[in-house]
Amino acid sequence: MDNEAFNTLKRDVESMTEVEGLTMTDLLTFPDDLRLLLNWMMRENGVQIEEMASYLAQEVNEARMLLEKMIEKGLIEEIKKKEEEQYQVLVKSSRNYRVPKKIWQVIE
Amino acid sequence: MAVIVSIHSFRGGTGKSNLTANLASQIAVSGKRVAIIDTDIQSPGIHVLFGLNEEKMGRTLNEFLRSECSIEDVAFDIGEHIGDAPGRKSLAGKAFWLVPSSINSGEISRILRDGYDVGKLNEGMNRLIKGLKLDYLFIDTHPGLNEETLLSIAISDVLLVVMRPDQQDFQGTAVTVDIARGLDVPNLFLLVNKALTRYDPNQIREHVEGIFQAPVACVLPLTEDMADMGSADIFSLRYPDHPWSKSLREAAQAVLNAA
Repeated sequence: MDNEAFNTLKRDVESMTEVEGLTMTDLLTFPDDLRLLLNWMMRENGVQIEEMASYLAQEVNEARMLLEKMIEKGLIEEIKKKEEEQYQVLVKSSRNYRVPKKIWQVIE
Repeated sequence: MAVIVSIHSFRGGTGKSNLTANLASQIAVSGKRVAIIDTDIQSPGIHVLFGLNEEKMGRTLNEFLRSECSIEDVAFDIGEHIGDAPGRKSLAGKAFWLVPSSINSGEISRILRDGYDVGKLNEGMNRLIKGLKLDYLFIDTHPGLNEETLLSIAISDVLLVVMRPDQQDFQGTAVTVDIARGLDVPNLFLLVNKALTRYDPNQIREHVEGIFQAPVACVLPLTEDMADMGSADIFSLRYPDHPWSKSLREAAQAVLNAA
């Protein structure tokens, strides 16, 4: 990713409203580079800062600043795996179906 | 690292669960460590192909999603419990598991009413891969698009979209293919099922590939023999020389090659 695309990605993250985790339907509406980054992180199931920097073709410090912003926005979380700090997408969705209570009472 | 394979269709009745069971069985027979997770919580059915019913299946994905047990507790060891069906005998001793969804009406309505954390489903799949040291995890999804199916597609290394040669399926498949591209799935295949035998499968393949600009893993013929079996066994293991089984093995090979 070149510097211009990286700066756009940073701006996209900064301009987002905070969320408490990511839904897949949200993901599909994100700008391309942000969506691709999150897709990659999901498939990797946790990445280290160095892997993220390599993916972005940026210095580790630059990648770290972006990660911190993404954590602040509620898109990803920091986890410990084998004593190593990793980052993974925070998937959110507890959903149910809008069926009137009366119907549930009948089927239960 | 395990390969995650999702089998999806936009519409119901495409034969998705049957295909998932057959494909996963073929790969398990080849010596790989394989599990299937039935995420079709609203209308589960794949367990039937492995001879399970409500009494036999034990713990289910529903209990894991309510945090009542670990995902490993739910994994039913198919290789150790093949039952009497002749096809499934080839699975004896294989490293092959099924994580079934409950077929109990109260359990289904409970999860529909209370919902569940899709993130927990993701966590469970990752734990299953590590705990069972899987080479392949197959996800049998609910037809159509919702949060769970989008998650399955997003984390997949291989996505097989099942369709019939039918106008409704063509339009729905276009939607699924668009979304899979948006989610950057590394290996996307189409799988045409229930093709009429009077048409040339190569022409069908060419036609479908031209429309969707994606490879067709196989074209499976419509067959009464399959319908006659009524999900009582794994068709491709019971009748390995049947044209349907030969075509199915092409798709299994595509999955193996994609890894």
